[in-house]
Amino acid sequence: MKPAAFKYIAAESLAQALALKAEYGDEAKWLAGGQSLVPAMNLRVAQPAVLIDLNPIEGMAGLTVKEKPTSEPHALVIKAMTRYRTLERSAEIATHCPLLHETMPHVAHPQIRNRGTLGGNLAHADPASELPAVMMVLNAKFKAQSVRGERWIAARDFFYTLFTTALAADELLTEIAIPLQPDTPTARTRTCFMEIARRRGDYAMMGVAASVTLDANGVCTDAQLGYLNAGDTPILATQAAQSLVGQSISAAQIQAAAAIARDEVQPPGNVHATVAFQRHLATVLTKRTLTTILDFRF
Amino acid sequence: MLCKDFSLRFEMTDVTQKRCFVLFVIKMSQTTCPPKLLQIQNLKSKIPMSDLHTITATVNGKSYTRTIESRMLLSDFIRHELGLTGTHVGCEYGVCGACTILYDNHPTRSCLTLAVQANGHRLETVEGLAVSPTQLHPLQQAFHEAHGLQCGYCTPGILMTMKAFLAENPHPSEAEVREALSGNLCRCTGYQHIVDAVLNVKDEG
Repeated sequence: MKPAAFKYIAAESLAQALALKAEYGDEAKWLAGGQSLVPAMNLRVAQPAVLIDLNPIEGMAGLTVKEKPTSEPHALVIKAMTRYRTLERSAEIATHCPLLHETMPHVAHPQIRNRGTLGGNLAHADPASELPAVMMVLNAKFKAQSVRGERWIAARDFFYTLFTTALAADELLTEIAIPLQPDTPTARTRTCFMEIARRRGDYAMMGVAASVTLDANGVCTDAQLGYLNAGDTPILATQAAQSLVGQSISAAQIQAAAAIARDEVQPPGNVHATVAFQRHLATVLTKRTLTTILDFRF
Repeated sequence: MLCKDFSLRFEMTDVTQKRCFVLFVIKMSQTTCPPKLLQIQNLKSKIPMSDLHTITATVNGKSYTRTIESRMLLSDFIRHELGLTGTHVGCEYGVCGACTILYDNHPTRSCLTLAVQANGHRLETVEGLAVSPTQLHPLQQAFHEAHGLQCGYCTPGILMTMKAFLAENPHPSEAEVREALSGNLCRCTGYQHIVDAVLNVKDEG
């Protein structure tokens, strides 16, 4: 239960960190919050040759709400080393991104949330984690930087499979940009997050992040349903969501969407929850989140 | 690129009411490259046998300087290098909470932090709680009075977690106390006396 030997480098600047990663490539791992990497190292599942610690670098944490020209949506920009506890307590996130605010208390335990970072979570790409699914529903974009330059990757193109992302060996996830959807006379968006875990803070057996946009007449113009622990990546139930669009959503339509989502998720099953039970949870949580959104939030 | 034709899978299971990684299934398809895990192990000849760092950390108000290996966990640093064995080690992968300390005032799993990461930081362990050898911290006193422990193994981690929790939320509800305790496992008490103790501190405060 102790890590294998490695070379530790406390990075002093982003430029130095990127140069080191370009030099070492896959032999090196970034150390962000360490709340998934260090247990994997303790268990010797991960044995990186080099750890590049991002914690000493100034200016890699924090969040801002960007005001854009009226034709474009506003965006919440979160730097990658922002810790969960900051997200959980942020008044800006509570105001502007209620889905993320509602999700944060479900992410592990208080001690983990004091260290874990948003960027580290997303780059780790655990499909059982809440935040990748939430980022898919929010249609976030991620900034990847390397010595070669920078590029933006859509959350929906980012997660390849278990613990595997679009990031190249020399790249670092540095920023997360979430488009905001403030109410307008013609579009109101409401969201809800729910999960079921055996114990608060443990990995959920199933979880759902839901977002519904209604126009002035109460007709659904957009719906997003994201599931965690439902496949090799976070899963968007696109057909279930699409079935709600163009409708004044009724209880029967929620029921129908939940039935479609049941077949869209691809849960792995484990000792706590069989595949059939996970699919059942997906059905129930889809109904509950959509009902909550429509009953109380518009 | 991180092995797009190879994936490593952690299967979560639970034999002891804990989250644990038990089964690793290596799925390979169309392998043109060997598994990442093996690649990394093949690189081990390049890894220094000991990667030493000299660090200075403040623990319970006292400054300590030690030269340690980068792979040393903060929990082992506190126990073995500093001899502060009040911090307990339970699972060593972040589940049980026994090793919780305050790292710059925030409750942190010391088994999920490297000792080198304590360089220049301020730590507090259970040894730093009591006002004097004869006078307990009010939180410790409340645990004593409510019988908030049996074997005591989880207690240091719970005390450090609750100290920071009460500092941030001095008048919690019972539900908030239980939520705040979610990251600490106790196999003796059923938590009721622990919750009572924390609420008693509130009543005094």
